Amino acid sequence: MKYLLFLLPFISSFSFSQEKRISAKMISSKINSHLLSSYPTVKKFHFYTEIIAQVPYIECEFKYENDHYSLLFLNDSLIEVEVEVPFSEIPEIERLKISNRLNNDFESYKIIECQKVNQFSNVKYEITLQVKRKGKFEYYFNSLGEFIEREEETEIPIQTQF
Amino acid sequence: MKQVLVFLIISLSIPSFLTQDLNFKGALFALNQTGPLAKKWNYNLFVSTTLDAFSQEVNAVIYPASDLQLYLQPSLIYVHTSNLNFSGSYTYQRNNPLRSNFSNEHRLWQQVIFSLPFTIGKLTNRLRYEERFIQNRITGFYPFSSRLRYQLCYNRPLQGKSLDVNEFYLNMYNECYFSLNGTKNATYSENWTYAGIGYDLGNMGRIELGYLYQIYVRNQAKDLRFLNLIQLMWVTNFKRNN
Repeated sequence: MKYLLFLLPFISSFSFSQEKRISAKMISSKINSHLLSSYPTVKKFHFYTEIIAQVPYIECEFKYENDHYSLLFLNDSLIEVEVEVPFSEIPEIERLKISNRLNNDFESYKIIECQKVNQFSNVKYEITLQVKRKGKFEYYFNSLGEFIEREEETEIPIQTQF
Repeated sequence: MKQVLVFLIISLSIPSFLTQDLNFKGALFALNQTGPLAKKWNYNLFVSTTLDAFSQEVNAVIYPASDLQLYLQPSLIYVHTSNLNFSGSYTYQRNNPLRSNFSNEHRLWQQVIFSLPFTIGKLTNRLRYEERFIQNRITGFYPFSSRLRYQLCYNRPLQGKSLDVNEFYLNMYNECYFSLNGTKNATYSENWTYAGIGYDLGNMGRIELGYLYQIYVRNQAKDLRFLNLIQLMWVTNFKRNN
């Protein structure tokens, strides 16, 4: 997903992404064999297609050893792995750097999601915060805990009628 | 024994003689526009008109096909979090707007909406307190009454885990109305049930078609009015340019 976020600014304003759930039967044997060999104990994979700028990506979500995984494939090749990790599992030095940055930006906040992007190479951390009276923010840090960028999420009202 | 039997027969027959439930069929057209005012504040404008499509005569009373209700509801929304919103509004409602027996209503309301994820959709709870000023055409006054409403709503995308452009979604709700004080026909005075299918048009918003079933206690004798409506709504949401 993060890979897609980086792509977005380069995409024409007329394009949009579409995400649709697809059956496991539609997945190539190459992707299937990768999943079965890397995550042998997973019983159920959920697959989605995501089309950005006419390019079809395959996203696969599943739970493995109590962690939530999201994998992104392009032309049957794995391009990104996201895994939810507890904030406390980030190595101490990097975690301190990240905390310092967050404490510097906000007096009080709550970490509602922490994801490790690409586990084995070019590691990044994607951290979602809920800040009182300010809303939701997504922070991106590199493997050394250095700040890359932050995005503020726009909160839209809950839709009702009458 | 004979007297008891006569009494029972008369008693059991009374409802069929006196029940005056009314059943109308029609359509409801609505426009639902939301947009940002400030970081945490949004406005919403909801306009609708309810049409009774068929004339009918019930117990010697003629109910002509006509516009039953005009509804104009601007509101202010405070988005505390994406799952918790607060709103307030002044709403204007005109019943039988095109007929001589029209009546106006001025209404203030405050509401809280709390939503939580449920399967791949969203379950939304809405509690609204209304202060109503309904015109009495005989006295010319607008006596005060109040009402509490609770709505349970579920909506979910039908193609994938999120709603994207050119995709369908499902929206359904049930709402209970409780009249608290002032002139009222019953405490539990109204119930609305809705189920509809929507389609995301992208920049043009969303279009939604559904069936709305309204049950209303229409008099002190607890006679009911049933409204079977085909609802067509256009939903637009202007977004803030960051």
